[in-house]
Amino acid sequence: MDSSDLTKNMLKNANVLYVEDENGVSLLGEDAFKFATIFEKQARRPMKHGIISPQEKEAIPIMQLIVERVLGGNHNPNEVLYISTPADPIDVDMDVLYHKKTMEALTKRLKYDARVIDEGLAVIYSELGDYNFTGLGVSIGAGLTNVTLAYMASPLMSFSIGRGGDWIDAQVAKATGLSVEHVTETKERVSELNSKVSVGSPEGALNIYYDALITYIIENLKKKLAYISPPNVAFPVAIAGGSSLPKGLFELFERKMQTANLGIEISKIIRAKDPLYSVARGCLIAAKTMEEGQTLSKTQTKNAEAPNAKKK
Amino acid sequence: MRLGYIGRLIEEYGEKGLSRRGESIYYVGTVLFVAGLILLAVGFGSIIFYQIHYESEKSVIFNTILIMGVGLIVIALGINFMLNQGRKSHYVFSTGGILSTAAVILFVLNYQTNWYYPTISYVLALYLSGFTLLLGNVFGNVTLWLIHNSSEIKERTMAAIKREYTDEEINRDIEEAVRKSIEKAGNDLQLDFVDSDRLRVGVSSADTESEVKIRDTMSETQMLKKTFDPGDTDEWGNMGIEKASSQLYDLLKEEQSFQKPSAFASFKKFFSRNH
Ligand SMILES: Nc1ncnc2c1ncn2[C@@H]1O[C@H](COP(=O)(O)OP(=O)(O)OP(=O)(O)O)[C@@H](O)[C@H]1O
Repeated sequence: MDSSDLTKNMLKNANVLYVEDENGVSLLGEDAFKFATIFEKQARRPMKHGIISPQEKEAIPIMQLIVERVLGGNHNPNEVLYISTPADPIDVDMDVLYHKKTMEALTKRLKYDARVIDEGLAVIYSELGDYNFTGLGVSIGAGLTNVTLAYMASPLMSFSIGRGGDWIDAQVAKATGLSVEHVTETKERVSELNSKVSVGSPEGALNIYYDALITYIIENLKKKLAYISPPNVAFPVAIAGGSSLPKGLFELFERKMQTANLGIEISKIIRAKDPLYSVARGCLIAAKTMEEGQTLSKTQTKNAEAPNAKKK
Repeated sequence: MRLGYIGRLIEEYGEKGLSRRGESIYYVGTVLFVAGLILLAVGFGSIIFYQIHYESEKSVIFNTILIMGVGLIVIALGINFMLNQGRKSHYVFSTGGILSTAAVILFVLNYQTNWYYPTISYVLALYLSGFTLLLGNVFGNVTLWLIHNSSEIKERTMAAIKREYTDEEINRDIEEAVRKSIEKAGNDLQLDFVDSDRLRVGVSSADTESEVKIRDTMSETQMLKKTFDPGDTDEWGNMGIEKASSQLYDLLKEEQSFQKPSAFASFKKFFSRNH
């Protein structure tokens, strides 16, 4: 938007978060998304496919802003911080390592002892404590789906695939002719897999692409498992991530897993207690464990809180 | 250096490529070899037939020696022609051929008139040195050929082994190597950020941000520590230990129920455990 005083006043009155630079005013967060939906414009993303978007030149300043807002408050010097990063993707060509290094550098600036953890492993830390951190962690996010197989908290195999909520939005938008933002809005509002849908509504297409996404994840998992020889135990599976939220998706996943013939024994399938925060919680568990291990004598038991969560 | 006619011929053929060389020189070599053998056989035949000894008729001795001398040279030449040789050995074998041929000519010229002590030994020495060069050349080439061949066989078997990799596996190996090198380079990388005030935040964040607070005991932290460091001591009756042992119990129980041992499996297990 242009940066006239009128615009800025209007935004201030409406309590809309924005940033200003020489090119004008940019809205941030949920509001940016709402405006984009209303004006049928595209919301820009600092992150795409689970990493800092290489196509957006503003991505790093915006990420810097987000990181500072979320993590910039008071904290002990050199407090341990775990950042989740995607595993190497198998179907999109992109540089996860550079993203990792950038995120590490962004957080080290804020005087954290920053470390990285695999997104899938974070799900395992958060959800599979009762199973000795042995099992499969699946995180179906926006840009990516991350999968990790761990045995006694050590990862045996992990990968990510370039499909998640965004892919569903894009496919449905293509199939129905609606804007991506519109589809996302409907998807998150309805958040249910129905078999009875009215003609022309995006819900029908949503069902189809959720189904396709789950099949794609399981097929890739099968392929990856064929390359390793995991210990002969039954693995529980935990499923997390925003895109695992819709009602009926868990059951769909469960059904497909049971008939998939993965080559490993699956003991049970668990839905994350809070799918949106599961990865963050896993990171916090890793950080706390690391910190308590480091300062065994002078452990301060802090009241555990999930990290401040902020919508992108 | 001037090459003999044969040397030049060979050079020429060598340059014209293997197939020409293979066809003609090999043919010439074989013919010479066989001819040499025949000459040698004739020589032996005449020794036996005429029962040659020191006092035999001079012309018979002359002819027999000539035939055998030429026969030996022709055999050596024939073998040399059959071998695929390099430039250096062409020189060696041309010299050998010239020396021994010269010895034969000297023998022919001197036999009737001057076949006495010093001349005999000179001519014999000339002949032997020529013949030695020819045979030495053959020996050297054969050895080289054997070495080359065995390494070629090794190469060929290596190639055969290599060919067993599928494209997918090769790609995977390459990707793995590239990934490792990128990772190494990445670990050495130090990214630095300069503070930029390019972006000015418009509205006070307190109004637009909300904190989500969730109460959580996070018992997983203790469990994770146990998993990583099982030797960590704990007081008896402590929550942690009870939890850990019940987890272990659960895991074992689950394992058992999922392995569903068949009669044969337990049979096999029995024997493998006890013997
Ligand atoms: N109620 C809902 N129903 C369906 N989908 C939802 C819902 N809420 C969020 N989503 C989808 O979940 C995705 C975001 O999930 P999440 O926050 O776990 O991903 P992320 O961590 O941003 O992604 P990535 O793993 O790619 O980094 C988005 O695609 C969003 O549309």
